[in-house]
Amino acid sequence: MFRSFATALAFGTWMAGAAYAENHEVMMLNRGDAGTMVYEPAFLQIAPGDTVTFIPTDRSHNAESIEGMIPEGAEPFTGRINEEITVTFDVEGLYAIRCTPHYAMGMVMTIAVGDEVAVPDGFLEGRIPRTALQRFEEQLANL
Amino acid sequence: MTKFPKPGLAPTNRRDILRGTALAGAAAFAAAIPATVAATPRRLPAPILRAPNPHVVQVQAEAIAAATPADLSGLARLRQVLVAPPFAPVHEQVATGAPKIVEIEMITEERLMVVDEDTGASVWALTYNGSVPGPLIIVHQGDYVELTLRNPVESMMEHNIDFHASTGALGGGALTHIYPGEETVLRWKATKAGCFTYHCAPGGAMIPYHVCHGMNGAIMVLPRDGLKDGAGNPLRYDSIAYIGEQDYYLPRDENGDYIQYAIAGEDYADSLDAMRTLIPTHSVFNGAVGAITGAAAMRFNVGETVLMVHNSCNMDSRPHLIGGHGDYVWETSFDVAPLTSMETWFVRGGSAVAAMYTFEQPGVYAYVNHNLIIAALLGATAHFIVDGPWDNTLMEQVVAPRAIAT
Repeated sequence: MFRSFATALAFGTWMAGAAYAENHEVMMLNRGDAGTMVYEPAFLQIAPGDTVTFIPTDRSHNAESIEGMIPEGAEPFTGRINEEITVTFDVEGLYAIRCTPHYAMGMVMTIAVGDEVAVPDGFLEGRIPRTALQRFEEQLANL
Repeated sequence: MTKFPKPGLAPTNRRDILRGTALAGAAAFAAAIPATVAATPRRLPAPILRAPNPHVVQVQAEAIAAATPADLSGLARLRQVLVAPPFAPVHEQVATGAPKIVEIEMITEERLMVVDEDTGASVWALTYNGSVPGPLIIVHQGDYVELTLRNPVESMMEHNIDFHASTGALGGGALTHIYPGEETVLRWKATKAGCFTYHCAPGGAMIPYHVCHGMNGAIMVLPRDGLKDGAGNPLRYDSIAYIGEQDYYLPRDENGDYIQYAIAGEDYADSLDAMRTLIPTHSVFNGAVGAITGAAAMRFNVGETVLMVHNSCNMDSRPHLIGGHGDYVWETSFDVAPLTSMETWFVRGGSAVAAMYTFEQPGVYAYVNHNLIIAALLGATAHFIVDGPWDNTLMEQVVAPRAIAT
């Protein structure tokens, strides 16, 4: 029920801004090409105003922005476990996203919004679980 | 890494259980329970994850930063080596000297454990030191517990610990969150005397998830001058039987078979669905069906006084020693006089209790949760084998079973 509503909403958003905004889909998986507990893709570079739909392909996952690891002025978000959400990314910069229950297992992804995205000073200097840190480093290498 | 003896986790043998009592054998029939969990709706409203208000967290952090440093330099330090249940660490019943700093070490180990070998039910147990329940800690009132908590680098999950016996910071939970590859040291003062639960509490739905995967245990805080009866006379025990009652909610597939998972944490969504039913698939003593029965039964002698420490983090329980009693039972704390000559006592879910009994007859005693459905069908049965001479004045079979004369 919620999923179809959310999808419709996402689709509507996409239609409304067809000329400018694009929707990107991210699967939340127990197992993917990169190992266990992953987002696919784990890195996205998108335009301001684009939306990203996080799809609970496997159960028990969500998407949550990490405190202190999103651009200043950007709205933090926390998806519910097992539910699809679509988030609009208006503010340019770098967004670190995690699955709340599987953060320690390294279930993280990075979204770069805009063409000229630099890694902010100290972006990875907070207390980050080891596996998550490794994956963040791999994701940031795409910039 | 430190190796811990795990007698309670030794593989159980179906025949050993049958050799004990029929009651324990009945636990094997848990396999015959219809798969009620399969009827669970696949998609339930998901829990809303709420972090504590950042302002509140900030207030606590500021208060901690502004606190006066504690000067404990005059205190002696004692290292307590923890052992696996159902055993207790080496300890004094009456404290000698002034309060001490008792150093302990616990490792958050995630391991695949067989819950019931007859059905193949297994769980990626989340443990302290590799056992379910976690090890029994014993200190005296006024002592300081200094815990080094380590999360191995190969772990999948974040862990922490909430001591019900401690004061502040969510029982220490707020100060002990550690990711894989991290360690932390927490010191707290044991101000209350009694038996208390400790458990992992990472936040939100992860709290019952970790607890229902075995991550709980007990600490006993003894009065400095030891246990006493209602008249103030000292009470001493010869040994301890440490029982952790664990409710498991193991997910099953559409055929009713228990699902095996590849890694810890993979069962998260299925487990939450199963937990929502509030109907455990298993409720066992020390991690697995039959963990303290058959060859793994505890052994005592006539005249021996045993202190039974029973922890139940989640569910209410009602321990009963079949063929014996609770001579002295401390259901709440050691501040109050013990209840005496009890048939069955009560463990509030989220607490631990102590019951003392001196064996008067030899034979096999079944220590059960006297909700006998839980004891016989879900696994909450342990066996105590007692050696010694039989006392015919206490009980005698005057006439062996025979046909009724017509």
